[in-house]
Parts: sequence; C-alpha cells; structure tokens
Amino acid sequence: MKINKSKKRIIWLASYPKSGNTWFRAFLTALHNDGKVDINDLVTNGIFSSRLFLKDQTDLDSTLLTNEETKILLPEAYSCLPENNLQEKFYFKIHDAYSSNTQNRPIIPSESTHCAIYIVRNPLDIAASLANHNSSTIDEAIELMNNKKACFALQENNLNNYSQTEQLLFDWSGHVNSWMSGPDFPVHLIRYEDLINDPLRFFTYILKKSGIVFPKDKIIRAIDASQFTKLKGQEKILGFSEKTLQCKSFFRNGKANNWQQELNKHQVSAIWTQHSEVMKTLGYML
Amino acid sequence: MYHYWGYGLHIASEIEFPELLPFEFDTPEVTIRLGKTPEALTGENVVHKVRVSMSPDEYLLKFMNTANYYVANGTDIIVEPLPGAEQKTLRLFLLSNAMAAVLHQRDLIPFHASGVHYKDGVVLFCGESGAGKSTLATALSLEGYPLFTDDVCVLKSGEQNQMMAVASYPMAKLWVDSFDKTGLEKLPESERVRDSLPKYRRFFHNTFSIEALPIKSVFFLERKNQARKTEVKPLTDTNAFKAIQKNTYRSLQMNAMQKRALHFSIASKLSASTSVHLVESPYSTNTLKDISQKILERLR
Repeated sequence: MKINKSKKRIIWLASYPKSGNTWFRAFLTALHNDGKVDINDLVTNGIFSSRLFLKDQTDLDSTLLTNEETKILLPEAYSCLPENNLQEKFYFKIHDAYSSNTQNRPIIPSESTHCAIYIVRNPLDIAASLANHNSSTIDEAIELMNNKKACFALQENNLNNYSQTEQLLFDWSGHVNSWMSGPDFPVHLIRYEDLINDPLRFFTYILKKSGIVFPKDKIIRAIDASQFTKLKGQEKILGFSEKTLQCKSFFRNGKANNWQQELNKHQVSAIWTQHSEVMKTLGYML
Repeated sequence: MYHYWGYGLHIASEIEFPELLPFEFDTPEVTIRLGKTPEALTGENVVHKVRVSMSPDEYLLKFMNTANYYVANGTDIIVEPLPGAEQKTLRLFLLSNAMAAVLHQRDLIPFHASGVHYKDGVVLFCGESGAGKSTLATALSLEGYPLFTDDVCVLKSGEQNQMMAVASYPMAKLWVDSFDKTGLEKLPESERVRDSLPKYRRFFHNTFSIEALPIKSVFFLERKNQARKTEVKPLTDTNAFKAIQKNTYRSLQMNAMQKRALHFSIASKLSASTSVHLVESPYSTNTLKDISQKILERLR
C-alpha cells in the first residue's frame, strides 16, 4: 500500500443538503470500486457529524456531551485523524456550514485538510427535494432555507438521540458564503447542474482540481454506474439506509430546473428575495 | 474514605458517589483519590487520541473544563478537578470512562448493555447510545421485571460454560422523552445527570443486586430508517458473535489496551451459550410498547 505521509489527506464533500452530495459519493464509490456501486455501502468515510466517529477518536459517549463540546472536539478529532491512520485519502461528507466553535476555532481543521469539493445546487430546485427529505411542505423547506440559524439533525436542549451531532447550516446563502470565503484551504466549487449536463467534462475537472487521479475510461465507467436512474433503481429494490421512513424516495428526480413545475410564484419569490444576490453570482436566474 | 460496591469491585473513594452502592469491606480493590494527574503518558505502547491516552496499564483522560482522570494498574484512580467543575459531570465521566479503564486493566470485559432480572437470571439489551436500552429496561421494570443494570455490565464466565453478568451501579440514565414513553413521572431538574443535558438519574439502590447472574438472553436494539414495523429476529451463532463483538463498551480502550483476544473469547462463549436476537424498529415513532411485548413473547 502506498503511504501518503502528508498530514493533509482529508477531502471534504461539502454541500447544503439535497444538492447532489450522495450522487457524488456514489460516483466516487464507482471510481474507486471498478465501476460498482452499492448505495448502502458507499466507500466514503461517513459524515463529519457522526457520533460513532467522535466516540472512536475521544473514548467519550458523545450523547453525554453538549453540542458546544462536540464542536470543540470534532476539529481536534479530524485534525489528528491522518496521523493515526495509514489510509491514503479520506472522503468525508459534510452538511455543516463552515463555522467556528465557542473557542473561535473553525470546526473544519485546515491542518489535516487537502481540499473541499463544494457542490452547489440551485436553491429553487433544492426546495421540493428538501421537503421530500424532511417529509415537510415546500413552504416549511423554504422556511428552513431562509433561516439564518437553521440546523440539520436539530437536537434541542441537547436531547442527543440522533446518530449525528447537530449541524449548523445558516440559510442557503450563508452556507454558500461560509464555504466560499471562510476556509484557508482550497475549496473547489462545482455546480450540480454542470455535473448533470456534461458529467464527463465536469467530473474530470473537479477530480483534477482536487488531485484525484484516474484515467478517462474509469471516469466514464464511474459516471455510467452512478447514473441517477440506476441509483434510484437500487433504492427501489434494496431500500436506502440514509432515507427516513417518512420520505417516500431519497432519490426523487434529480433534474435541474424542475422548480418551474414544483414551486408556486410565492415560493419562488420567497427564495429569490433572500438569495438572489448569491444565486446571480452562481448563474442561477429566474 | 467512602466505601462502595460498583462493577463487582470494592471501591474506596475520597469523593462521595450517590450513584454507587454503599458497602462495607476491609480492603479496597479500587481507590479513588483527588490529586495531581500526570501531564502526559509516555512509552511505545501508549495510544494517543483526542485528549485521551492509554496503554495496557495506564489511562489518562482530560475532560474539558471538568477534570483530568488518571487510572493505573486496575487499582488506582486519581482525579484532578478543574476550576469550576460541575461535580455531577465529574462523577459521570469517572463512572463511565475511568471505571471502564479500571475494568480493562483488570482483564474484565465491560459490556454495553442495560438489563432486567428474568427468572433466575438476567436479560440484556444492547445497542448504540440512543437505541433505547435504558428506556426499555425501565419500561420492563414497571411490568415486574426489576432493573438489573443500566448501560453497562461486566461479563464473566460461570460454571458449565454459562455466561454471567455483574451489574454496574444502581442508577439508570433516562432522557426526558423516556418519561412520556414509559409513563413514569418526570424527575425534578436537580436529578439531571449533567445540568446541561435533559437526561435524568433514576436510582434503584433498594432493588439492586450485586450477584453475578446467568445471562438468559441478549437482544440487540437497532433503529433503522428502512424499518416499517418492529421485528424480533433470532441471530445465527455467527451473526450473534459479530453483534456481540461489535458491542464493546469503550471499544477504543479495548483495542488500545490490547484486550481484543480476551473480548473475542468472551464473545464466543456468550454467543454459543445464550439466545441472541435482533430487534429492528423504525425511527421517529414510539415503538416501546411494541418492542417490550415482542421481547416478552420471545422470552416466554
């Protein structure tokens, strides 16, 4: 096994929820696994907020910790991970916004980070997908996307009964801005829509940017194996462990610009009013 | 010195522990003292993780704003409280982490399980934190199966290959939503295990047993996103072994303190001598009654 001695070996797969992160992980799985994907056994290293990971690094039952305490320990845990592990590269999914803990330390440690791949998706398309994921109405999903203090896996008053720690998202624009302007490590931005429209070009681009080297034929195979319809088909037959019971199907339609059929004009306006500034910089127009 | 029984051991302590069972003895097996802990552990066999280091004989945990804990030779715990430390928090992490280190150092295997008395033995409930072990054991205690242990017990080999369990200490830790689920009256705020957590301590000193009791059955609680209803399935010997092996209490300690072989042997014996079941239930719904009924059906 080739041992990479650099301490900076973590690649963060960062995104606001429902922005193509799982699809990207399926692609990476196919890439590292000779074109084979099992959606219930993705090769990436899990999610940043995993309580299990925190336990393995601290010897503490994280359900007995406050949210503030977990946010102090998480960067320390990820900071020393590469030192104690021979794995050449780590891929961790993360939905948290790039933020700091109560000790003013960023929750993502730059000292062990190679780079982050930030997948961004048109918030108009996220709304219905987020509603499906949370089994909420689209209006409630938009409320979450517009809430500057929004959290995923919210555990009010430290009622710590989820397998993940609480994830501070900010509102959608705040999430994008936090990742675009906060980190002092490289963050490579990729639009979900570009990955859909020209997967070979943009998957190749983002891999190259991130220093992930694979020959073209393997990339083509991985793109084929991780086609949205194939992942959806697997979910239909085998189920998907990351889907909640109330959510009908994790892989819903995955298309771009579906918002034109799914949102009413008030909902479009609620998103546009709050996020147009960031949307315009990313080329998302009405 | 206060004298207690906990995890099957005679414990002498400079710190008062309402959680433990007061007990008379002449010679302590474990002594808890207040004092200065080492700055760091050194040596080739020391594993360093986040604010915690350990070797087969030593353990050092520096827990934020509360205390440093040093454990040596399975006999001595030194606690160095930090300024302003909350005493309940200090005791909580001593009972969970430092005591687990004591057990590992003594070649005893702590097992992540809550349990109730059943006939002349005990039934154990395993699963990750948050799986519902304590709530289930408490619910069954209200149906006439007294609480045996909460969150952890110690496994021991008995006669004729029978595996035995020793309880930890007479306190259950219940999240605030457990009161609604079990119908128990909510405990006062003073009974929080930490002031910042909505988790409450419920003592059961009066019914607590210090005997090692035969393990009648083991149930693994697993919440699944995909599960539509509660199902109790028997596990094959191989799958039972895997589940038991995964269910270590403080797995980091087990690995770093080089207790894998010992754990392997105990897991083999337990899976071979006891019926082991998987209890799958969906997230987001109160399945407690369903689970307890189905488990009792299996036991009968």
